[in-house]
Amino acid sequence: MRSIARTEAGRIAPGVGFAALLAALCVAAVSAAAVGAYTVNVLHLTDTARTILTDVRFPRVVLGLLVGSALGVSGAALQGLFRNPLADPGLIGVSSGASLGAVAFVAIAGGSALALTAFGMPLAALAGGLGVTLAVWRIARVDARVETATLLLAGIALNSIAGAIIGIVTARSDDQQLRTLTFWLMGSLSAATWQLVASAVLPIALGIAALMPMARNLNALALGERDAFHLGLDVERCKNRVVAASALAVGGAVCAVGGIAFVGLIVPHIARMLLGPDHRLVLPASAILGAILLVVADAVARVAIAPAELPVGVVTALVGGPFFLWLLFRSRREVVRA
Amino acid sequence: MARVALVALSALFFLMAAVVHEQPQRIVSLDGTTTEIVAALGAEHLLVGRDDSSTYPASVERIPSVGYQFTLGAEGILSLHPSLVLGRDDAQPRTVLQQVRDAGVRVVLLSEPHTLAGVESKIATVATLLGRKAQGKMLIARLRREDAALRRDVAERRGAPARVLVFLAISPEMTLACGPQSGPGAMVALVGAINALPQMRSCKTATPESIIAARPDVIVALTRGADMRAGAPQLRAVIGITQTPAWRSHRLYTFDSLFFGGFGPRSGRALLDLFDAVYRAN
Amino acid sequence: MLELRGVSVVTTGGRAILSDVDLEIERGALTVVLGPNGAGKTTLLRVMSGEIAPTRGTASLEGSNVRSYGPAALARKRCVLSQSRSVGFAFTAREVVALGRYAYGASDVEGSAKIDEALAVVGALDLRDRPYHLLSGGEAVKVDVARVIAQGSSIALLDEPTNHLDPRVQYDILMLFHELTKAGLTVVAALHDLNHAALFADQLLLMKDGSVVANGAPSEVLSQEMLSRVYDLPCSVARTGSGRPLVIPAYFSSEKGVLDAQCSHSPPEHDVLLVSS
Repeated sequence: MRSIARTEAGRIAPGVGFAALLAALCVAAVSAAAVGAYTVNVLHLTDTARTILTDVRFPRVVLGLLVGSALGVSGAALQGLFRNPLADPGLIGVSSGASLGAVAFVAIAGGSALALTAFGMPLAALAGGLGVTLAVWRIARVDARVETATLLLAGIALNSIAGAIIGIVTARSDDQQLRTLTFWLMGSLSAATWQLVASAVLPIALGIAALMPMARNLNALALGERDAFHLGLDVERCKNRVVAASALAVGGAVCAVGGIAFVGLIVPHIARMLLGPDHRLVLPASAILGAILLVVADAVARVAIAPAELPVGVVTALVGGPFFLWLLFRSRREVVRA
Repeated sequence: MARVALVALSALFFLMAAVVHEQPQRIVSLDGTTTEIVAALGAEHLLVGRDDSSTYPASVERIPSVGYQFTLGAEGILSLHPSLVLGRDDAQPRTVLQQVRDAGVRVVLLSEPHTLAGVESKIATVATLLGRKAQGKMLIARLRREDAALRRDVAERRGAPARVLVFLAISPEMTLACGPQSGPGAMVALVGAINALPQMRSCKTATPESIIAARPDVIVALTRGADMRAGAPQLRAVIGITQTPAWRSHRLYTFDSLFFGGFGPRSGRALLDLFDAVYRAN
Repeated sequence: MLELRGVSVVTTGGRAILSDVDLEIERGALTVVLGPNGAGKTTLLRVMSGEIAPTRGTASLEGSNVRSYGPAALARKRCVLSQSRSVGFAFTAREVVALGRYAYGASDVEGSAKIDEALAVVGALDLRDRPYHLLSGGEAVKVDVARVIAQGSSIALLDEPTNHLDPRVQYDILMLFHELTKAGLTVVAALHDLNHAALFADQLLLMKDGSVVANGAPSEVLSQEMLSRVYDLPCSVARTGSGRPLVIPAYFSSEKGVLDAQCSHSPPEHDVLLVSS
């Protein structure tokens, strides 16, 4: 049965879809702020309960919203740029670069003062993420043109080089440094503070703000770069902007919470399934869906084995893996012509 | 659901208890050694939370865990309504411990000592925090007796010092060995033996060649939850180990990692056991 | 209108793809570019479209260098039907046609009407809500033609628009552009079918090895001697009642379809029935 809200192509009407998404976002954010290992009675707020709400849960939920939307939008934009539904923000090297920056920081300055760790680590991660993306970009640039295929291959090559360097550093790390690294490489929102929110909000907001107006350009790119140029798109400028803005948003996200798998990969798929492939709908929907997914996954991570926590990356991968398999299965049945 | 209800109920119970009686201490211990100290001071019943490295005494495993001391979350700790949080000074993430402090909870982080004197002062600090100085003094006195016995043994021993190699983790993929500046590695010098990997500072990956070149007379392998015993069949997986003097003379011993490398109340006993393993066996 | 002066294109490896091409495209005409594979037809179209800059010489559009226009300004002047029939993601046919309006910005008032008009012109209104990637080859090309028409430019550059299509769809596409030239559209189409060229071309360019070897009306260009030389293929050229050439490669008239050397030197003259127009 097809509901009235669905259009002929099997999509949900944009108005209905966004109303539902925003409602779901509110429910997700409020319930994520309401649940946790600590039982908060809103009618009789103790000092501790107030601290938990304002200094522990709220920054964590806000960080989850920011990071989730950054991963969602960047994933959608990069899938559009590469015309490849398997693209994820990690492809342009930003995630492995950020990990490299963080690992290098731990190896060089690990165990130093609190203030240095709190600010130095995210900064090192952001620098690493943007640095490796820039390197990928320069390698793929020939005569002021960026070859998208080369960009992908350069991303794969630099990812493995960064992985190798991380391997070297971890092989030379002692067990204590290893533990810090593992925490960071697994991805977790548990270090969330208002400070961390403040340091992540700028790159993420700038990145998302720069990606949103690219929706029409990404639509044109669906025809391929040559046809997009024939349609009137300044292809090189568009590619520059999408990669730079994605690197900024994902860099801001990764430097705050480490590597979180699957959000950037699956969220755009859900958005397209609901609303169709038009990036003017997919980009904002991916922002909202990414925020919902991460905030809910983090709430699950916080309460599943309370008072201990699961790494949030484990929850997103646990949800994402089977979902992705289902998507593959579904698309195999639907597509007639290869 | 049952768990949430239980937490809610117990929270309610303790809130009421707090109103009626003088507030008892509620301790969350984020490290196996501090957990062991609290228990040894006779205060195990005050522990409301622990971390995953807290495995001794076995009864503490019934206490809810807040996760591993290097992957902590603030709300999990705070949900146990602690009045005191104890842990190592390298617990992670640092911001989480700051959040716990900001919620008005006393957080005391102690460095990991590598000497018995350091263990004594750590015990004294915890005993003072718990108002159990008398129990603390008894623990310290026992440590001193063990220390004196060890010093006597070490002084009386004749002959060249043995070379001892300590493995922290063993798997075919990765073998971590401990240099003299790590906790487990520092044990070796305290029994008058030589750490076979002097150039390695902390616990790091050891290559087969470096294991052979280390020429250990004795090999100590640490695993979780093992009693001290001679022989270590799982060590066969370590490439290069069969080329060592220790392997040829069957001088391989397994210790529990917390007992051996934790530098807690049982460290005196651990050192005496190590001395026996290195110099009295055969 | 569209003019190439001394255009050469040389690859970075030093291989010449176009050498010193001079030509002028007539306004409101259908110009067909013929030539064997590798003759430079596609590169010629890419130079005309502003996609690549010639190594030497200039391509000018309405008096200005093609490369001096910005991408959007250029898109309002010329449209291109490439050989690509792939669209990333499951856009519907109408959404694909709507992409033709890209150059007109987000606030494109007359866009919606132009899109439906274009769909109607190619007879693809019934396809509008079908996902593009599930269309047949013929349906897909109709949608792409509608997209190009919706772009609303005065020059259309078509790169082998009849590839992989059945004879009827090939005819429909070419007939459509032929009729659009009557309404003022200038069309340049690279083709392989010599008889389509003979039937639809107002102006015919014959290329070989990066040079234009013949340029004129089909009846002048399509001679036995010229075709045999350019394609290394002996043919006979018949004439229809109205004098339009009808090209028949020699292997059609040989007994077992064999191309014999004899035939290539002295092809039979008017060896087939005349077809009345």
